[in-house]
Amino acid sequence: MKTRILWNDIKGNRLLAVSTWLFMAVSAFMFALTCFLFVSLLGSVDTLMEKAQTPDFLQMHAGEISEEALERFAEGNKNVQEYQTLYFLNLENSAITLSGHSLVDSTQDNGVCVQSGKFDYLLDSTNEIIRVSDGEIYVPVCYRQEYGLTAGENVQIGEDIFVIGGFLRDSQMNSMMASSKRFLVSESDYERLKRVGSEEYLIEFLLYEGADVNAFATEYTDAGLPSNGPAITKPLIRLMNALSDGLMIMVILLVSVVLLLISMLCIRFTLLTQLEADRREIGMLKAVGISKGNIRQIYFLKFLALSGLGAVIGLLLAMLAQGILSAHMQELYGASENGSIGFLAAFAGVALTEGVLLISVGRTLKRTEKLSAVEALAGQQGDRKDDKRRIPSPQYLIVTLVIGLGIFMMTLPRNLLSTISSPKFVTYMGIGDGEIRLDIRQTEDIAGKTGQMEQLLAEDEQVERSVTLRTTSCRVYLPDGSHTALQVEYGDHTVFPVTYAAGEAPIGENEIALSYLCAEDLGLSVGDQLLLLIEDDVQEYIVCGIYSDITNGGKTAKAASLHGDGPLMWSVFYVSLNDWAVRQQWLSEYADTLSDGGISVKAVDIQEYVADTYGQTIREIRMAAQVAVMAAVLVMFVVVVLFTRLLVAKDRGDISLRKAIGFTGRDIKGLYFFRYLPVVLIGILTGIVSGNLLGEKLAGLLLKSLGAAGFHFLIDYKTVCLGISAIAVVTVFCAVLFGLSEIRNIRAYECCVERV
Amino acid sequence: MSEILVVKHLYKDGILKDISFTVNVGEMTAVMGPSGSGKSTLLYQVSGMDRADSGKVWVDGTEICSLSEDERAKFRLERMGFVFQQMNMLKNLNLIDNIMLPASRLGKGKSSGKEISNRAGLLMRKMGIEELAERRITEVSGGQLQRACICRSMMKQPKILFADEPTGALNHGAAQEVMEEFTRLNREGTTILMVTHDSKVAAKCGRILYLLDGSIKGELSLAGLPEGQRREERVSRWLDVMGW
Repeated sequence: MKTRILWNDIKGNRLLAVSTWLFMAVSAFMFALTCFLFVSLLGSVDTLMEKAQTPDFLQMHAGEISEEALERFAEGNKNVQEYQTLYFLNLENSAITLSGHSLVDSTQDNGVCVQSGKFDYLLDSTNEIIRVSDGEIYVPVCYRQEYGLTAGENVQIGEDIFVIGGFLRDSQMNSMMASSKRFLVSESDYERLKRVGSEEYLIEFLLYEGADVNAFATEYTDAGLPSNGPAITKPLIRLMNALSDGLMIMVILLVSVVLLLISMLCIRFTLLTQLEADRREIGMLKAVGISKGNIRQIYFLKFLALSGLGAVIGLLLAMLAQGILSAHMQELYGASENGSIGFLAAFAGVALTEGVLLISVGRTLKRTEKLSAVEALAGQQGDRKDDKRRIPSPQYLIVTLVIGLGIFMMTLPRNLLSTISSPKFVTYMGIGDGEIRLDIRQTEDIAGKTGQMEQLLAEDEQVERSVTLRTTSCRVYLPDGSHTALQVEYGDHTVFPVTYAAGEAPIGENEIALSYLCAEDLGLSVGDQLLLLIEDDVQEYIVCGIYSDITNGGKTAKAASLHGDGPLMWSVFYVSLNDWAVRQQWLSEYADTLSDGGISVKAVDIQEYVADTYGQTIREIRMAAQVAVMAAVLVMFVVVVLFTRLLVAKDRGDISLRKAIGFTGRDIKGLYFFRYLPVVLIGILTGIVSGNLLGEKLAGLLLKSLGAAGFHFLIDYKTVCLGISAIAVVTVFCAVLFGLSEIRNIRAYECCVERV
Repeated sequence: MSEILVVKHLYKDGILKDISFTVNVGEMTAVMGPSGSGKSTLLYQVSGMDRADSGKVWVDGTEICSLSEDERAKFRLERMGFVFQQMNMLKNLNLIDNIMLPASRLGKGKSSGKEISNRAGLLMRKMGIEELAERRITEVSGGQLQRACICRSMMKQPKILFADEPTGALNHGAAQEVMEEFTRLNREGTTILMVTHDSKVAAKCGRILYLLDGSIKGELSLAGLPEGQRREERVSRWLDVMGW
């Protein structure tokens, strides 16, 4: 009997059943997809890092090294499981051509190396350790898609021609967010190429499980070992790897949550509408003695069936879609070994989604308990306006909310996209707000070259403003008396500022700003005192600001000046030109001038740097934003059609009466459109305001968990206010028009016929 | 003659005031009164659909006011039958499925599907609606629908059948047909308590209670009087006396 009631109910209310099923299926699909992608990304990154045996601590260094001192340190440190020094031959980007594509415009540090001996292996597309032959070269996998390369094509480095043997996965530098890229050649080819590049060292340590990497980093610095370059730890490498694709997953997750909310709202509403329509039947069932539980079951069974069907379809679609969306991850990091875990996670995600929806259904169905048989039967006739327990029908409020949430769903990824695409986004990542950045790193006599460079920029008439920021390594005293290493960048930080999450740039002599990760690590906030040890001299500083930084290991500090000069690790120059349009020409002229002067500088157009570093992430977020727009349009369309149909059904008598007294179908439709006008306007306004404000907070929370604090959207108001609003208006217009089509089937005489 | 329904000192929301009466097994009793006198409210209290503020109601020896809502629902399902003015039925089921509803697993019935279906068939045959079994409820007339409601109320062979204005929504012919069915059921032994404002309907019953402003103001026994015009005139005169 229950099955018959269920089936007849579905057949009798097809529109409600299909829309309920659709909401359940779309919610299940989005959550399953999020789970699949999340597990796949983490699984792929972990598998790659495990197979490649990524070092726990890595110190880049340019200059002399003493292998003996390093070996002594490694042997004497109980945390060190394995140690090795790798050689990285840094090449001029102009010297590298990949199958006809020159890397001259690349903002990455490209170089060659040989396969590691003990760990940190470079792997092929099957995650096996690559054995490279003479004349062959393995190209970082991220360049395959970027330049459309295939194995067998040529790579030219200086005068030498190599054949691409395949593409390599580099567990450390795979992500475009990592600033260096390693090409793999044979040992004899490496020796031959030494003449065209400058050699740097990667000093790598594999630690025993459970060892404290931060404590180890301090021990390394304290031992006075080579540190002319950034130091990176395994957690930061994992973060870099996960961040570029992780942002897309986060966008999908946020969209999923919004969709779940919309689904809950709509399913609750359709159920309330049905309960209102079935009021008499519920009363009758109660009167004849059918128990509350059994009445609830009749309704619940339908939702359970629709939910089960929705879950299966959602899961199947997610399995198909994840293949497409995770293609880039799979290429970059290889297949995840978490296939079954991914399926289990997706299954759990679907179960959770459907569980939440069914709990919401169950709670709504409790209303049937409050409705007594007497009320339901007695209410058939009299005026029920005063009945406080009457099941409400708030169509317009629901439509307003759904339009608002739909706009929110479209606005949030769009804002994230415009923010990450903006050149100003780098100021959240620890890079100043300039047009051009010049780095002097990992070379001899950094201080001398910095001075020369400063003078060149000062004399250049094309330069509007420039600033020099020098970085040195200091020690910070911790409250327990111990000390730890800290890279301090000093100079005028007000000219091309980064974005401060709290406080402001250091101006006074004793002011210091800390990166978010560093402040977290040291447990300091704005106004706190900090003791720095510079060349055996203890200096007191006050923390004046906190900023985000994921460069150079993420734990850095900025000061206006330092009392006493430590050895320079590197220098950075930020430049803006009088004429922004000529920056490319200026950069190439400068490169010539500098190489003539013997200064090795990495010069970057910051806009290009953003495109290079975040290009893949931007493409993926753009894809997620497009998916969000499609999902929002679909949801808004379905909801508005559904509610308009319900409205027309409810107003059937009134519509018939209007027709009887001479209104045309067009006139009546006009009335409905007029009624929808404030609903759409309020919905759009709510969605845009919440998408910009609440969305910013949500995105900020997610980015903060990754180390990028104080996040603010850089909003493209034209797209958000006009574009997204226009999409919403057109969608709602089409949906209302479609929903109102039933009006033409309503006859003028219907109002005169007795309604049973 | 044993009592099947005993009502003592019943009060409800100021609508019912100190109502006491009894109904014996096999009786067909009508409750009459003007609109707002509390007829339907009285029916809801004595059938356990609602709980009275005070007073006691015994149905077939069980005091139902002290039962919980679920216990009362179970009691109604097992021992009572209901017929309403509005012929409430589930629109998504056909006529026979609606009739079988209280006896089905949904009503936690213990009978087998075949037994239920046979009984529904039998009742429909008796009511003359057997050929309409597979029709949807929108495809039959009001009289046929009300007869189907009577079938549904009889599915579990109730001890007492309550009817609330069972002919209120029917035309004259259909109302007569339905009343004939009630009379037949009563002759076969079913006890019936019926709320009505139609004196001709009330004249078919053996006893009439007159309700005014929530209290029973009078009682008329028609036992022994032959059916027909004389009986209807007797009821009309009595109602005149009562101020109808």
